[in-house]
Amino acid sequence: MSYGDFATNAGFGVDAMNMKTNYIGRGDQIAGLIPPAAGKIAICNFTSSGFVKGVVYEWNGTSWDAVAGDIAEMIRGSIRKILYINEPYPRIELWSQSTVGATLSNNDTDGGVQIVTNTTLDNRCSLSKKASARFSFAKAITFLGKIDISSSLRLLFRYGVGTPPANVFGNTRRQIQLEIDNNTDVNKNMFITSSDGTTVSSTDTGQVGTATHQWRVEYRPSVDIKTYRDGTLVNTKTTNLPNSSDSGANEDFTMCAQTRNTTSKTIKFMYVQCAGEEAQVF
Amino acid sequence: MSLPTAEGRHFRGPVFPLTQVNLKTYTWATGAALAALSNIQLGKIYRCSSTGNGFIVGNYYMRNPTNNGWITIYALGGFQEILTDSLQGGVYFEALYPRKVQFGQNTAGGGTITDDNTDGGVVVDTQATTDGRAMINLERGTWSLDFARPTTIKIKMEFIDAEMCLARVGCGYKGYNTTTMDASKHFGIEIDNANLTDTFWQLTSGDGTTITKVITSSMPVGPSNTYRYILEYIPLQGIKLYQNGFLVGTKTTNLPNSGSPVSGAYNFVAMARTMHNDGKELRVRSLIITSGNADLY
Repeated sequence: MSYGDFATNAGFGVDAMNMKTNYIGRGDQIAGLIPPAAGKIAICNFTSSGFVKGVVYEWNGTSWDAVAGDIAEMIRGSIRKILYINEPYPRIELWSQSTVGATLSNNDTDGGVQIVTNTTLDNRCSLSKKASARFSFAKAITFLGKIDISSSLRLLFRYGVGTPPANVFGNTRRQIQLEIDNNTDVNKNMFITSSDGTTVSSTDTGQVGTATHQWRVEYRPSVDIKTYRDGTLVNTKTTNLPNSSDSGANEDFTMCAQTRNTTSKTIKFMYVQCAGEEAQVF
Repeated sequence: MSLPTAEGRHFRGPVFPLTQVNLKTYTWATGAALAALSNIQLGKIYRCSSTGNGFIVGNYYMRNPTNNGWITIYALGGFQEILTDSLQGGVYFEALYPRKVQFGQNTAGGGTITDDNTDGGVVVDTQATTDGRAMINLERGTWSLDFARPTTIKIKMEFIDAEMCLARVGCGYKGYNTTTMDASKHFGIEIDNANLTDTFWQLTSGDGTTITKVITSSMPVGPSNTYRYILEYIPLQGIKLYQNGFLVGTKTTNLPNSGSPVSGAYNFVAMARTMHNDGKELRVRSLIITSGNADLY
């Protein structure tokens, strides 16, 4: 039996047509179906037998999962696995804070939060989601950031999943992050950094990180990490992907800045989003 | 009988063109095969039959609107797999149990903003001094609310007194110092009442050139004062206000339709300003906003 493309493989047999199309029926009718092949889609048009009108279900091989049609049903069905940092309006009170000499505040002009490192060498601040949820690196992760960086000279900046805080260098734990690690007086681009737990590597995105930009990082385990700036793909990294395990018991998500000279840097985080899968069993 | 298809065409038996049937049905393919596809029509849905190249077995996929990637339509693995593919598409702001720190805050003339630890939520209070005013807001620097896409606000709130006051709840409004809202792109509900009698919420919107208002049948001051509202905006269609599940107002003129809130305006505002020596409180008990995001990620 082939479920191939009709244009190249005409599969008009009953089995093939069945798997290429939706079943529509009452909840009790869906409940009474002879178990189909995994992947069959059924749409409920009358609430009964635990099925809800208007919800789209998919047979997973042993039971029906809500996959579309009603966001509450979808979330209810997968709440054990959802891990979603949703901060369209970031506030410092929602983050664990570690500050040495820097000034951390809510930005009530542009919205979001900001770190001002001030002018002492190695002043720094780290904001983290810490020791509660854990991102699974065996599953896809996407994070977004609208970030304004005042200068990349002698700056340590990081933003990502499993990311170590400021003033920590050479940590090889599994991580994925945007990073500027620059201890020179020459401007440095934004890099994408990842670690497989043994080796950390960084790739130049070819894009400056200064000024306000919208960044998107899409991690697909065993495939790649794609980095977008302002909607344009700027880098695809395939080396040293974490691929397994999780973000661990420390920082699950970190955004941090550190000045590595006596010039103050201002970093504004105006939009923070990260979605992945919870690694802990609930 | 034949029914219109998504393309406006009809099945005409007894022989169905393969290309038409193909578009109307799911195609199963391996992750590797999906990754190798080209020239895919938007709307064609594929089911991944074996994990590979970033595709997950059992999930259904469609090309994204800009045709530079895939989005997950159905995910057996859970809702989070849909989220990871479409995170950049829109905004979901949630303050089910609002705390004032979740918002930008402005007060003047003695107005205050406090957390309500008795009944929950945030109280925007003008206090009892003429021109006392207070506002919670979401700055437009965080995301660019997209007027070209639908926005829905779900808010449970209590407004204790609609006499001689200015109050606004919506998107694209300017702050309380703009006593007469201009034609900047916005939509929402407003009370602008110089009389000593209670009045109704008005739906207001501006398209950048003209602002118009439509009175609704929703009077904020009632036996309980606390109501549950849905403010639903659909570009090029209209704005609808629901109160406790009933449609109480519709507006179809001067919709913003494109762009984002202008400088000086906010993605979201809830504000009150009193015009006499009597306090007005806007008690926001719960708030959810969904909208498009015009920022490119």
